[in-house]
Amino acid sequence: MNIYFKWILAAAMGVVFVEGAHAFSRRPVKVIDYEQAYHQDPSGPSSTVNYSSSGSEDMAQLAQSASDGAGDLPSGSKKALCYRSVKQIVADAFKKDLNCVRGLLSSGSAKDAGSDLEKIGFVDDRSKCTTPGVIRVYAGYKKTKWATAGDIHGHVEVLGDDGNYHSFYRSPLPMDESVSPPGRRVLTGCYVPDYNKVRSSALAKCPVSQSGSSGSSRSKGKKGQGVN
Amino acid sequence: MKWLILILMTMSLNIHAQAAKTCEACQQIEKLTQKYDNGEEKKAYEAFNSLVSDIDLSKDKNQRREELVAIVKATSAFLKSDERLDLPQYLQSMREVYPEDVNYALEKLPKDEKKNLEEYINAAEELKKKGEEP
Repeated sequence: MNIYFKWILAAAMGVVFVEGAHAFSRRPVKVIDYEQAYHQDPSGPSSTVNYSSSGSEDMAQLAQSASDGAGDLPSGSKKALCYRSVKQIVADAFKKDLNCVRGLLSSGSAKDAGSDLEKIGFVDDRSKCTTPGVIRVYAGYKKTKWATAGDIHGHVEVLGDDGNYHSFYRSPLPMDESVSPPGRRVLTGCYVPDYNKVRSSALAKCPVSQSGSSGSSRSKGKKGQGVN
Repeated sequence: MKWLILILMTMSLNIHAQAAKTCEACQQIEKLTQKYDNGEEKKAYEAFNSLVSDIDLSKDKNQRREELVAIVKATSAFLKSDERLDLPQYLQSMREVYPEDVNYALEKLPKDEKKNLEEYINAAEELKKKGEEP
């Protein structure tokens, strides 16, 4: 018994030695610094992106809307409507009328979401693929005998500030890592809002969503400046 | 005459036994269903998803129907774990190739389960063909 106690004591001292006095204290809650995340690696492939502070606020708003469930489809929905969910998240984040947003993001296939998003001021920035608020677009490939709609139409999802990837469902893993076999979904773009482009796009002309609701069934009540 | 009857009976039993043996997919699905019912839902679902997505259905009609009955029953049972809604989409693909056999298998479900699963399969068909909009 005494020997075991000595071993446990020695192991505990070892942990303290390696990790310091904080080894047994509660780990701090991860706080996302959107400003820093948005500004990281500005020398990346799309250094022409406007890295204004409001751009990072747009990202934060997208991430929050996703986590708050703005993309939730009506209960009982039996379709895997990933792009519809993302449209709801965009409408909610920018406080715009959902029908107007759907009119602008009008493609029927998620794999075409990138060109739609570019029309409303988003840019493909591969250095932001894991930044909360990013909209990830995938192409789909039929790698199994029996296909799903995603194998044909691809997939689109928003990374929320809860660390989950949101579309018509939420997953802790991005789609290209959660489906098998590998290569069934291929990431084709990581879209982030460019502050100036968004505000000079057709999105800015969309009417403001009525009663704070952009069409999703969840409750509201959060900060955000929208797009005017 | 007696010998002839005995031979025929033995042959019949052999054929029956072979048919039962050859539905390996049914046995695999049965095991996964048990695993699912015993609390290993995620593992069993992932294994079932992987199995069904790439299954080579039998060329023999009776055998294929047997396989499809097993797939349809398990799909209905696993549906609550199927967040991506993959399973009804595989069935929709199978229905494009073997419509009569998939419908035969659906008939084996209780009425409410059949109606529910058919709605998922029809929704998958619409989505695949028309996309999301309008």
